[in-house]
Amino acid sequence: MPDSALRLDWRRPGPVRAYVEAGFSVGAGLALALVVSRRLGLVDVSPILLLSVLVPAIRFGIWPAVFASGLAFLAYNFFFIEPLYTLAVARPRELVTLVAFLVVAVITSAVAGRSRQRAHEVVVRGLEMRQLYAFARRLSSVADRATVLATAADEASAILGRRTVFLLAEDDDLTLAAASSSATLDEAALAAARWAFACRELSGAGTATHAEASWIFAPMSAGHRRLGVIGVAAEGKGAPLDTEQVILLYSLAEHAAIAADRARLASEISVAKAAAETESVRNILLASVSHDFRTPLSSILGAASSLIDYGERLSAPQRADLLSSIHEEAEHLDGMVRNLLAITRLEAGALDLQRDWVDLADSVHRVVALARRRGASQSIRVQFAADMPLVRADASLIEQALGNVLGNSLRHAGAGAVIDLSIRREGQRALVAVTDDGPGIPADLLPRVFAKFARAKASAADGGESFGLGLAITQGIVEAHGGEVTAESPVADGHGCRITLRLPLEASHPEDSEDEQADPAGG
Amino acid sequence: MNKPILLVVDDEPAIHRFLTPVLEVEGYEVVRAETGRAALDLAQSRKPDVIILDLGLPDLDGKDVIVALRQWSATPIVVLSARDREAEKILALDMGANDFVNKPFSVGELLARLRAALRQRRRIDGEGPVLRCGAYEIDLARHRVARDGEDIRLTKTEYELLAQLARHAGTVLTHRQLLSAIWGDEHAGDTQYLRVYVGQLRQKLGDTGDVRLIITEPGVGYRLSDAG
Repeated sequence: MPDSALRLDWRRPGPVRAYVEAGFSVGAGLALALVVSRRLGLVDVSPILLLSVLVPAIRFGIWPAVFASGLAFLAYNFFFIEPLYTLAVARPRELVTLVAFLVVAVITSAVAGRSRQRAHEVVVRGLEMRQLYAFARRLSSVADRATVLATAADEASAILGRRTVFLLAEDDDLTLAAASSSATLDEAALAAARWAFACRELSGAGTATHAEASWIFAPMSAGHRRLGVIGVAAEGKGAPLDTEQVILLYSLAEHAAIAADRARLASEISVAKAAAETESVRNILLASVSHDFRTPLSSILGAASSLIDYGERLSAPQRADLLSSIHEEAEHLDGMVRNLLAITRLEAGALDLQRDWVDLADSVHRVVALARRRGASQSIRVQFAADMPLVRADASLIEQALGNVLGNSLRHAGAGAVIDLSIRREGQRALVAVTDDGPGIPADLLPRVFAKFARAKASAADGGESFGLGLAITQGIVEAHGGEVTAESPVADGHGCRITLRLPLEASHPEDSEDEQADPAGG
Repeated sequence: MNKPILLVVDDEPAIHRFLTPVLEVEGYEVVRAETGRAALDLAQSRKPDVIILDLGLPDLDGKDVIVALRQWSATPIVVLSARDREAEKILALDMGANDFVNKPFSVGELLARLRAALRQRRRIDGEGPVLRCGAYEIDLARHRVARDGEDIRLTKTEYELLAQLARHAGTVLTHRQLLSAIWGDEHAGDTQYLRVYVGQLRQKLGDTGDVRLIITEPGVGYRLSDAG
C-alpha cells in the first residue's frame, strides 16, 4: 500500500494483553526508578519511566503507548513529585513531563508501527508470491481449459478466502466457465462483470461502477486478448477488497488467463493432430488399397488378356491354370472388399450383427476349406471338443474373423508350417485358438498386432490380401460379439504364434423343443 | 537364332503365374526372380536380353536395381509400376530404364514394349538410316521426313525432336531426356518448350487422328509409335 507518511493506526485499540503488558512495563520502570532514587539519591528519574513507556510504544502501537505514558506520569507524580504520595499537580513543570511522555509514546509507537507494518507487508507479500507461484504451478499441470479454470477458481478461492468465479467471453457475452462453489450471478453482478470486461477495469461492490453488485470483477486477458473476467464474492456489503487484495486478484486473473490460453492452444494442437492422424490413416488406407488391389487386378487382367490373345497357342493345362488364377484372384478381391466394408462399418459403429446359432466347428471347417481352395500348402489341423455348445453369433462375420486369423498364419508362418485350430469351452466362453509354428510375431509388433496397418513387413510380399487390416477387423468383429481376441508369441521354443478368439456363450441354449418348433417342411 | 532370354523380376507369384506361359509361347526363355538381389545375380549369370522389373520389391528399391545394373550392363529394362506413381517411373527412366508398363497391364501391351526394347537394341547395332512408321518415312541420314511419299518441311528443332523419338521408336522418352537432348541440360525442366514443339510437329505431320504417331505418356514423356 502506498503509505509514506507516519502511519498511525487509530482504529485498532489493541488487545487487552497489550495494556496489561504496558502496565507491567511501567511497573517495572517504577520499581527500577524507586531503587535507583533510594540507592543513588537521584532526584529526576523521569528518563527511567520514559524508557518504560518506550517498550509498549514499540511493541503494541498507539493506544497501549498512550495508556503506558499516562500510567507512567501518574506513577512519577505519585512517587517522585512533591507532595509525595499524592496525585496533586503542583507545578506546570510536571505537566511538561506528561506532555513529553505522551509525545514520546505517540511518535515511538508510530515509527515502530510503521516498521512493523513494513515487516508485516514483506511477510504477506512473500506469502502471496508463494501462493501465486503455487497457483501458477497447479494450473500448469492441468491440460484442458475447463479443468484449468475450475482449478483456478478453487485455488483463488482458497487464497482470497472468498467464493471465486471465472466468466469467459463467448459469442459476445460472458458465460460462467468455472466457480469455486455453486454460484449464481444476479443481473447486477453480470452487469458489473460485463463492465469489467468491456472497460478492462475493476467493477462491482466497493468500486466506482456497479457498486450495488455483491461481486467484484477484474478483467482477465492473455497478452492483448481479452478472455473474460475473474469475480470474487463481496461477502456482505461493506466488505470490499483492499488494495493488496485487488493486486492479488489481478495477479490471479493474469495467471489463470495465461494457463487457460495455454490449455486452449494445447487443445487446438491436439485437435489438429487428431485430424492429421485421421488424414494419415486415410492416406495409408488409400495407399494400401491401391497397392493391394492392384496385384490381384494385374493377375486377372494379365491372365484374361493372355487367354484372349494367346489362348489358342497355350496348352489346355496352361489355359486351365490361367482360368483358375483368375478365379482365385477374384476371390482375393472379394475377400478384400469384404474386409474393407467390415472395417468401414466397424469404424462407423454400424456393424449390425445377424445373430443366429452358430456351430464354430462348422465355421472353422468352412474357413479351412476356403484356404485350401485358395492353394494353402500348409498342413492345417482342426481339433474340437465333442460337446461344444453353439454360440449366438453372426456366422458370416465370425467366418471372416476366423479367415483373417488363419490367413495371417498362412502368410507369415511359411509354406511348410503346421497350423493348429482348436475349439473348446472355457467356462462361459467358447474359445478358438489358431496356433502356427512359424517365426512368430516380432516382439515390437506384438503389442499393436491388432492395430490397423500393423504389418510385419513394409512390402506386401504376402499374397496380396493384406492391408494390415485383417487382425484389426477380427478384433472389431469379436468385440462386437462381446468377446475378446488375444495374441501370444512365441508359443514354443522361441517361435510360433497363437491367436485366440473368445466368444461368450449364452446361458440359454437351443433345446430340442426349439428344434420341434422348426418347420418340418423346411428341413 | 537362340531364344531371347527374358528376366522377370517381381515379388508376386501371381504375376509370374500368368506371365510365364505366354512369354514362353511368344518364344522367350523366361528366368524368374522374386527379389532384387536374385535379379542382380541372375542378370550376371544368365545375361538376359531384356529385363522386366517390378519397382516394388521386398529387399531392394527397384531404382537401386536399375542403378546397379547400369554399372555394367546395357540390357534393356522395362519397369512395371503403378499408374499413379509418375515420379517413380520418371526416376526409373532417367536412371536408365528403357520403358515402363503400368500395372495392371494386359499381356499384349507388355509384349509390344518387349519387342520395341529388343528391336531398339538391334537397331543400335546398325539398322539402315531410314525408319518407316506406318505412312511415315524418316531418313535419318538425309534429314528427310515424308508422309505417303510426300516430303514434310520441318524446322531444325522439329526435326531434331522427331529424329530423337524415331531413334527410340516404340520406347518412351521422358520430358527431361528429350529436353536435354535437343535444348541442352540447362533447359531440362522447361516442359512448355516440349509441349509447344510437339504440338507444332503433330500439326505439320498431320498427326491429329485417333491413332497417333507421337504418343503422349501422361506425366512421363512421349514415344513414337512403332506400329507398322
